[in-house]
Amino acid sequence: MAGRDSAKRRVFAAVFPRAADSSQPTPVITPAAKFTTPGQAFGVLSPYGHDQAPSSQKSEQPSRFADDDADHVQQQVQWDRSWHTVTHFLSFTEEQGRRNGSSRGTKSADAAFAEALANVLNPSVRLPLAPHTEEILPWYTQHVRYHFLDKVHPKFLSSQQEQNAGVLLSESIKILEDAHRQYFQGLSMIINQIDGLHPGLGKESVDRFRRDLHAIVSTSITEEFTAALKLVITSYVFTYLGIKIRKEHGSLETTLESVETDQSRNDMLGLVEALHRVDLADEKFQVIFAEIMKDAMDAYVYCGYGGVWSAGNVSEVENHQAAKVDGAPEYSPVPRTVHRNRRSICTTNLCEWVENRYSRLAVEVFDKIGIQKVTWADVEKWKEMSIGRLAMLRTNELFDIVASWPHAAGALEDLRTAITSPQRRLHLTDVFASALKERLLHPGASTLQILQTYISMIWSFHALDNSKVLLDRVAYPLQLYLCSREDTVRIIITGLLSDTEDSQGIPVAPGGDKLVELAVLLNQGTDQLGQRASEDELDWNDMEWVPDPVDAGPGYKRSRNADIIGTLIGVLGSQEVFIKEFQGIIKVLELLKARFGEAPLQSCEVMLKDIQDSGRVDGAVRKSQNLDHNEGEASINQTNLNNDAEPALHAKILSRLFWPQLPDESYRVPDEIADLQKRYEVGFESLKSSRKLTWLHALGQATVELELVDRTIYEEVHTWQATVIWAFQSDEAGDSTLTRTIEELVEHLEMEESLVRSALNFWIGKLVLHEVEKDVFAVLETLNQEDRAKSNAQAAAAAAAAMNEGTDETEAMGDSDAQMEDKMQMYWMFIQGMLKNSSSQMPLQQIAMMLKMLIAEGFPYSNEELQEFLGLKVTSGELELAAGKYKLKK
Amino acid sequence: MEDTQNSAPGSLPPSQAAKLAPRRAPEGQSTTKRLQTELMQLMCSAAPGVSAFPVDAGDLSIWNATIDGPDDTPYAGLTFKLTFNFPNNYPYAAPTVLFKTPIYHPNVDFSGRICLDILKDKWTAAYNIQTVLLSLQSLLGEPNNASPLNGEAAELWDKDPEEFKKKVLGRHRDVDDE
Repeated sequence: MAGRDSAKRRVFAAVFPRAADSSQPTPVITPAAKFTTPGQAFGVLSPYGHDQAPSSQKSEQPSRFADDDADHVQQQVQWDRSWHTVTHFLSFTEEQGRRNGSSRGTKSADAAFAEALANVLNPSVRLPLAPHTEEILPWYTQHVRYHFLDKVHPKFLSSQQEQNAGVLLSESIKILEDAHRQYFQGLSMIINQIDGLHPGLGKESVDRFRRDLHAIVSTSITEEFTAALKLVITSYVFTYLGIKIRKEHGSLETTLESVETDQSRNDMLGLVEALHRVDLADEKFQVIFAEIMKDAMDAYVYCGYGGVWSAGNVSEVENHQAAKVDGAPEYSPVPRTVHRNRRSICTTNLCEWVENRYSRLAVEVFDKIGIQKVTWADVEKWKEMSIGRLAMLRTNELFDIVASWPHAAGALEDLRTAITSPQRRLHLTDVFASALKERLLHPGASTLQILQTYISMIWSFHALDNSKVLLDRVAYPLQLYLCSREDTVRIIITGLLSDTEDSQGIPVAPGGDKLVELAVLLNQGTDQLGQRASEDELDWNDMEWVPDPVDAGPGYKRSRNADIIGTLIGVLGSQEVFIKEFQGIIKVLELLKARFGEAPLQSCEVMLKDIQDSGRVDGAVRKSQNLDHNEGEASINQTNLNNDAEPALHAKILSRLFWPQLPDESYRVPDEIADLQKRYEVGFESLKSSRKLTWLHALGQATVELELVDRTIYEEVHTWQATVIWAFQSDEAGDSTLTRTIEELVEHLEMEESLVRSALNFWIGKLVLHEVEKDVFAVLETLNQEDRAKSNAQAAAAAAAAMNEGTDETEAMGDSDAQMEDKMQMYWMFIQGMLKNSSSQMPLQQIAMMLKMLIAEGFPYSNEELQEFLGLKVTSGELELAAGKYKLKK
Repeated sequence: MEDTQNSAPGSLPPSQAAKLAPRRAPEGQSTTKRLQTELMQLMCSAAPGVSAFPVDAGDLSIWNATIDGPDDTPYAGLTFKLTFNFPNNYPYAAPTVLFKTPIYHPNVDFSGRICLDILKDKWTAAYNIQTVLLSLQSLLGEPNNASPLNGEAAELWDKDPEEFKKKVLGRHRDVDDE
């Protein structure tokens, strides 16, 4: 059956030589065909089978040719037969198993093949007369190509149906490997001979063959194969490099070297070796490998370091690393191009990884493939790449890093190490600015939140780049936005004023509804000032000095400290806004002064100093005037106010120019007080020459002790209230019926009536005085039932009166304001000057406008009030009003 | 001396005025401030018989002033209006002062220009509006007949006080704006 089929095929092939067919017993052209014997196909010498043909030819040839041609024919025939033997021997049959391996036949057959091969390879020497010879190598190449396409390729394709990438790959490679082995076995036989004949020629031939074969094989590589290859290599590379894809979370983690990684390294190298054997470790493979390595680096950086910011996490790694390099001299794997003065753990780690694992794999793979060596420069480049990746990662994370300040110091350190070029710095600020805009600067974020972020930003960026250039670049939109928020200043102030400790003395944790951070900063902020002072000139001893960053703008001024408060306040326009807010707040003043400088707060400063100094001066004056220990003198013993001693007089000395105008009432102070004041004055003027003391009588406090018949009353009162009650002291003891009328009091005390009334109301409220009849008051020495009831009623009435008339103490003072009178007098001068000189008659509007514009400290009255005032002047005959215009009366 | 005395009071070249005064003050702001202060002083402590006030609240460089003729002089009972024009380097240069009210006086010409040394070469920054007004007021009683702008008046002042007084009254008339 097989014999018949093959016979048929041979017949067919004899007429139409099939290119793919393996065996060509004779050359295509008939060797020496002067004629053809009947029954033979022209041009084809022997269509017979392998076994019969040689024998039949052998029997025919001697008889067929003439003598002179006999040698030629003989040699041609011999060559033909050698060719046949060789090609037959080399051709691949279906039953490869039989011909495979070393058991390729008997020894005699091998010998015959060797003989034949020698003939074929070297016809010019061995068979010089054979006119038609051919090269065996091109034939072999051709033959291999046919065989591959015919037999191996279909098999290869069928193997691509496999689903499992690993199996697919190993199957495919096995097929290819088999084919390769087969092809090269044949080749090696030829080459052996060639080497024997022409040393050196063999290698060239092998190369050429290899190239041809590679061309054939590579065109037949399928996409499935490539995909599988990618998959398998990726898994090997990732495993080896310690990047683990966790199925359950879909997340990645990095692992350290282990048996598992070694295993995959070996697998990987085995695979590469196999690929190399079948010539598939070509450019395509290298591209795939390169892509995978790049992905691996991305994955390692992004998964290994993404979100790993804390220094704590890193320190553990550092320990590991320290253990590793223990004993070795200090060596940093970080490339020279990055900052090394403060090493960042992540970068150090990453560089180590690149050096020890990444590069190692690359070196080994390259070694297997047999292409150029990996140089140290390459490794450096990879390190830089990895750091670049890290920088990218951190840049994208920066907003979150900032938000988690101060827990992300490690990440900032990474960035600091990695952000070295202006391009990266620019990229960083761009990315951050857009993140800021997207995530913070919208109406959904509270001002507090924005401010907190801003503070974190200042800290973080200062840690990142203490030149402030980066911060300035990103902070501008934020500042602009903050200015548009109305409550910014208020929140900052609240923050500054908030308590840094709660009532138990436990520090308040930041992050509440106040910017406690600010208060903390303010309270500890002295150390920053020293730095500021030395900012102006170069510190020649500063070993950490670096030039200004290249991307610093013009007018850039280096400031080394992260001056949060200064920055915050500088942002929001003028310091005055804040100073205004702070003027009354003594607690903060000192600190603020340190921050803003002396000048703007000078008057506050003087006011404070006055109060402070007053204590001292007071002490000094009292001592010098012997006002302290004068109980013994007790000259003023008859008063109810002071039984044992003259009253102690303390004064606060204010510098008039720096204080706001204080309202004052002048009245006659009690004699003993006046006496004390005089002595005090003398003492003061001797202490501070060329200073004069002016008493503001109404602004004091007095402690009054009233000894009444049935009770003693202690009161802390205003001096004018004390003065009024002083007026009731009994000249003669036991005179309980002492009464005073308001008129008397006004006259006696030289005090405004409203003030007197106010004081009287006060004492009635205290049940010390009672109104005997209208405007006549007496001391309520004893509180009997009746009096009590009476005074109760009066107290209620007094309170009601005070309420109704609104004549409470301060208003009583405000109403009868002498300074106001002075002011009005001055305004009157203005009006006179105006009417006299500018224009002899003016309407109310114009007068008001002139006054408003010309009086430097401002004209506080409304047009109606002015009109009233002018009306008074008209009635008093100083002005006249005609046709709506005021005019001076001549 | 004669020349400067005879030159028109208002025509003192600004360059000369500038030369007379040290040039350290920038104009504008400080001038306005000074004038404001002077106004305040003037209002708070007015001298009898003289007063002055800016014409326009927006522009302090032009003022009007009034002087009452001192008693015991031919000008008693009369009031005189003047204008002050402050240069922008005031007080380092003198203001230009003119009589608005026609006045018959040895040191004032018929267009109101005044010959007074402190308004010319004797000006210092220590003078102010009030001192100028008081000087002018005293000039009414004690003219400087050695360097008159009005020769006839200078002559009559000494020779014929009656005639002088008549001329004064004849020349005086109240100017009232608008």
